[in-house]
Amino acid sequence: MRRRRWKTAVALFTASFLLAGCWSHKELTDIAFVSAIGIDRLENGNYLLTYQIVNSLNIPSGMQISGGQGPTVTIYQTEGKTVEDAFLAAGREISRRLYFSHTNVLLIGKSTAENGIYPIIDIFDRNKEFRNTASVLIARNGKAEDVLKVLTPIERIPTNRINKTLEYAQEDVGGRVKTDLSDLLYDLTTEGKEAVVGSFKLIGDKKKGEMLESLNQTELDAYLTSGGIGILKHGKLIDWVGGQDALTITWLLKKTKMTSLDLDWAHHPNALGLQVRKTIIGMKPAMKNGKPEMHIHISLVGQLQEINVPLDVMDSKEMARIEKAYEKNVEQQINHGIRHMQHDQCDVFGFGEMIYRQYPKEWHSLRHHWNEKGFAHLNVKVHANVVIANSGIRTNPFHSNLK
Amino acid sequence: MEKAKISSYQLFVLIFMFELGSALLLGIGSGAKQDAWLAILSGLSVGFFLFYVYYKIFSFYPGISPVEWLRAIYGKGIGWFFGFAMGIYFLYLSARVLRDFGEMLIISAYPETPRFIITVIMALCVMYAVKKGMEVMARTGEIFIIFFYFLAIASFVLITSSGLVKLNYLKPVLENGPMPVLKTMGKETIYIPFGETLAFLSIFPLVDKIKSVKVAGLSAMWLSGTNLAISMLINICVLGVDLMMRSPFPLLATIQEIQLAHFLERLDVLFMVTLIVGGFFKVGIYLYAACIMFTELFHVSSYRKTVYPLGLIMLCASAMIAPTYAEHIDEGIKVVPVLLHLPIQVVFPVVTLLLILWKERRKKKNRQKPASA
Amino acid sequence: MPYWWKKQRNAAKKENKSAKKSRDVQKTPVRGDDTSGTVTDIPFLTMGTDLKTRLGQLKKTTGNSSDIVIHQIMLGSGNDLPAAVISVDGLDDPKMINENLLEVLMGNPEIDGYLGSENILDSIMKHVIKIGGVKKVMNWNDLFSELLSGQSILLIDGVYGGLSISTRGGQQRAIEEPATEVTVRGPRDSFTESLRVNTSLIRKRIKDPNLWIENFKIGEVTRTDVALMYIKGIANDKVLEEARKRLNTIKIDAILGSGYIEQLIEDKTYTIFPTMHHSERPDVVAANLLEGRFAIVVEGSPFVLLAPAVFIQFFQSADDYYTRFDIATAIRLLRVLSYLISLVGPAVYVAETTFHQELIPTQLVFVLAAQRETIPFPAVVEAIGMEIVFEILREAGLRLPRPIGQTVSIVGALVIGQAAVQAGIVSPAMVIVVSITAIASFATPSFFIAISARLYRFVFMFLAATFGFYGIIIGMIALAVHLTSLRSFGVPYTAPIAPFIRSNSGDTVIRVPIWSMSARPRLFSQKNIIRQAENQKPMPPKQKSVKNGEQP
Repeated sequence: MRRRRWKTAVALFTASFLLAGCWSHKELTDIAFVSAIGIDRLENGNYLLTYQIVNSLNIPSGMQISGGQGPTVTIYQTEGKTVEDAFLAAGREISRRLYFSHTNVLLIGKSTAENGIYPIIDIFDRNKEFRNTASVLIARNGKAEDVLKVLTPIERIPTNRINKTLEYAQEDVGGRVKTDLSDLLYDLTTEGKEAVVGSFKLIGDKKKGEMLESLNQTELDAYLTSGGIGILKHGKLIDWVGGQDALTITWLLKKTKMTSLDLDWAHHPNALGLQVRKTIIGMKPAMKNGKPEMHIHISLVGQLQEINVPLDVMDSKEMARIEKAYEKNVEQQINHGIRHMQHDQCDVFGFGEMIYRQYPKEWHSLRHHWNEKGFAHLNVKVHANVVIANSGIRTNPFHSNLK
Repeated sequence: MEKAKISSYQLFVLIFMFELGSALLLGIGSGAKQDAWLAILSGLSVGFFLFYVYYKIFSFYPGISPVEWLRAIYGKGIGWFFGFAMGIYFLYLSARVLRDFGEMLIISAYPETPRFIITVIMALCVMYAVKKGMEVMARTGEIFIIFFYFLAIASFVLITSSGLVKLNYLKPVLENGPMPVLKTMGKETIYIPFGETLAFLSIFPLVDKIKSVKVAGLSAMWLSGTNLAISMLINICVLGVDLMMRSPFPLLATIQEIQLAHFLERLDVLFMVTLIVGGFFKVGIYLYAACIMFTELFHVSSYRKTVYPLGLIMLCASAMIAPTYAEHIDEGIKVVPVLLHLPIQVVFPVVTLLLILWKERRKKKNRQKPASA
Repeated sequence: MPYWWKKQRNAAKKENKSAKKSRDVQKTPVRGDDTSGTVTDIPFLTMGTDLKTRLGQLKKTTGNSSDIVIHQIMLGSGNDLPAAVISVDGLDDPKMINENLLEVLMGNPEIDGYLGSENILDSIMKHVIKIGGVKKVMNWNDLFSELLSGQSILLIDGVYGGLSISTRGGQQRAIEEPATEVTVRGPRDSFTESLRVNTSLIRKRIKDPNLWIENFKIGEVTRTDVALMYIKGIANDKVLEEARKRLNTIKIDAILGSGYIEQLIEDKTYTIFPTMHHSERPDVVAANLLEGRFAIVVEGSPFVLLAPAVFIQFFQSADDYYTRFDIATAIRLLRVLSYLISLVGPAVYVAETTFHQELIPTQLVFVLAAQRETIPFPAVVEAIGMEIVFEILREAGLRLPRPIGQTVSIVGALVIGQAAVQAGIVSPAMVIVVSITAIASFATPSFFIAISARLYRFVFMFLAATFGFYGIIIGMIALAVHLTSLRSFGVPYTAPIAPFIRSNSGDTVIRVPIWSMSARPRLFSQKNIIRQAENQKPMPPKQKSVKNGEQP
């Protein structure tokens, strides 16, 4: 009898805990999915946070192809002395709890980035809800809130568009970068490497972009597009890089696998277009007389996609000459890009890190003011190797046979 | 002692799950930075030696519980005292591991739930299993090892195919020479998790063949040790040294990075919860060891009677041993290894073994004397 | 505490314990102990020799039941020896009684010679009655036992005792297709309610003389025939001893089906998992007997019990052995998967949508959130509600006559599901989850395992609702601990997975080709392990019988 009583007592005791309620319980209807967060710094030093919250009812599912009755996202904004403060203010305004587990984009305003991102990053690293795989971006032409207020065609949720665009651009085009939060943190804390951040910009009339009707046209009043690469030094935005130099950066960061290169040939500007299908980059540090050096070797394999001059594709000597011309171009381009960064005194390529990993003892003496002293005067040797694998499904261009 | 019999494969499974239990979760060896995996491997080699010591002690007194051979070696009074100390030690460790898991769940998955509730559920499950007996626990282990391994392989595949592993992060290997590795080994990795096989002294008598204990134990340690080293290696290669040092649960951070095909994301909860299985075995075996010790010490008729009381003590202790996570970890790294693990896991068994050997030699001499005289 | 008080208390405790024990034994008064107005009322041996009194006693005991037919005849051609042939109308074979018994006994001058002998019963038995299966009955117990089994009783005036002649007949169901275990490629006969037919079906498949049958009569009032079958030399003697012991300790009023026996001799009552297997198919029973198990056949039930049973067995169907090994393996894995789905399916859904929304891919989570916007209940309530509705539908479908029953279940499910979704009470995703779970539970071959999943599902849902995935994992650990602690007649329930027995593992979730299953399960039989010769693997002939280009 005693044993049974003892057991029932334990059972009731534990049951009472279970009945007391479920603490971490969150119904889907109690949470507001934040798909993107924008951070802008105001004049008074406070931070303005913009939350792009998903209106799940307006997202068509399954059989509905056209959209729902309203916009798919809604914007809320709160202000606070720190990011955490702003989150708290949101609790007073929104009818649901902000839920950040599906936040895929962290957008930072340009002026905020120039002021320094150190004060705003930690909460996103520490809070368990945030994903480390969310991408960090800078709003290229001004405020983050403007970018987030724009609705996008094709992709229901704007952050999908942002992320997908950047991913595709990063890998297949080059010159654009998608930095995850974890990458960013790694770059910020690793010696010998500085951070790069991608950007997005708004083109067009921002007021019109907020309205759903503007999507009902073929030519949009406002749309988003990816911007160049932002360079951060000590957490502050110091420069934008676009064009060829941006391609260099993404090459050396090993993020770009395919791209397109053109070449002047036979006194025609941009006569040839090479689509690079395979990129192999090797970067090796070396020590010469106690001074560090970088040896970069880049191999590109591609196929000719555009030939605007008469050309005999089957002539291997001609092709060899074209390849050599390409190689020279590539080397020049890379050197230019590296010099740009050396001018900025910002080692975004991670040369310092590579030297640390290879020559830890020498690094010890080099690490102080690496950006200004070591990197800025680093001797870099670039060697490029271009192989034109084939020329598509035509051999000679029709230009060769013009009457 | 319980009247149970387990096979050598079951012992292997138990030791394997026990070793991996909480070690997989925490950043073992992270004091050596990017050489953490080396620290683990060197801890493993010392662990082999320690296990051999335990096995040797067991082989001199097979079939009887630890308290009995403690009494045989040290005499009734001191033997009882040592047995009592070991019992308390095992109970304390079970509470520690329980606390570790509670903290992990609170931090990573259920921040609003009170930690005590989470630990109550786990503790109840463990008490239920320990009460059923070691045979049942061994069989449960056999079932779950399949599950565990399947998940390990799946996570390995996911991580490598996400392109997250950068072997570069391991360099420079042995940056500051071998000293940091050896220091970490001496402070951390010998004791956790390899020296913890001391708890199995209560379970060795249940195995059907004595020799098979050695084989099963050493192979289980080898397997779990290499698994731990590989997992730490992957942690470093995915996160980098800085993030790994800053994370209380590096494996969690690694799993959070998995992003595959836009739909397999944020799998961390799934993995954290599977680690519960490992924790279950660790806490369970420690509790069982403690129950066996106390049953012998206080002449209780069946060890099953001690499960609920000791289980409740373990539960309450897990809440009381440290007020905050920081203190808990601090104790675990600075105080416990030096004060508890080193003497009880290393010094005491070695001394005991030496005593046994010395006694054996004396016996031999005594036997020879009359013959020669 | 004073010493004398402790002593008193200990004494009282001891008394309580022994009182409890005797209380346990005497829990329910068994009919056999109450001896008023039953067969044992009539003294054991005193049967008397007077025909009239005996007939009178018989009529009194059976209350003059109208189906007990008493032919009063005169033996032989003379008119001097009255006798009576008693049989039960409906249980006997009238043709046999008329032609082979009454014909022979009545008005037959040939038997006159035997009527005067000393041992008249013996001589009649040996020389007169031309039917097999004749026995002497010397007391009322045996007499009634035989009579009520369909035998005819011959009582002769002035002779002590009587003869029981085998004239069993009566209506029986023909051998039909199995109702619950249908296979694609396998024999289609199944057991019926008659013990003899069932044992004969098994004998047909195992023509070894070592197939032994032991008979029991269990049930104080029903006196049901129960047969224990096993193959001597393969089955484990200790297990058989245990089985016999348990069967002999059954003291209950009635055994109306094999389920009764199962519940009375199983290892552990407070568990949802069955520790004894049962089957309707003779080939399954024969296969199990050959592996060293024993079978219990019960008169009146087409389900034969098989023991010892292990958990994996409930995921196997007869079909697995008649098809090729790759298909069999794949389908078995599918069954295990469907069992898991039916066990934790709704729980996982509840856990994901209420605790771990980050696990759900982003696109899907918005769809789910949109669906749940209009639902007034929390996910748990929705889940439990839908599950209960489904269970009601399922039960309803079972009760209705066949053609209507199936339609009602399907239509009911669809209509109710659809209507509930449109009314905004339930989300479509929930309906999908619940229907998949229900279908998955049908994929499990054994009905009783599927039931276990149905019940535990609610426990898991509750755990998921309070603790999310952590609750589910702890539930699974507890379930595993429970499963591994069960034993079936001494055999661990989760063998051969745990404890891991290598030689048996070829037939668990996977199924290796038949030619490689050369050892019997070590669990049940310790001797006679090898059941196949070596090199059973089929190979093509060394020489091709038809060469290329040749004409056959």
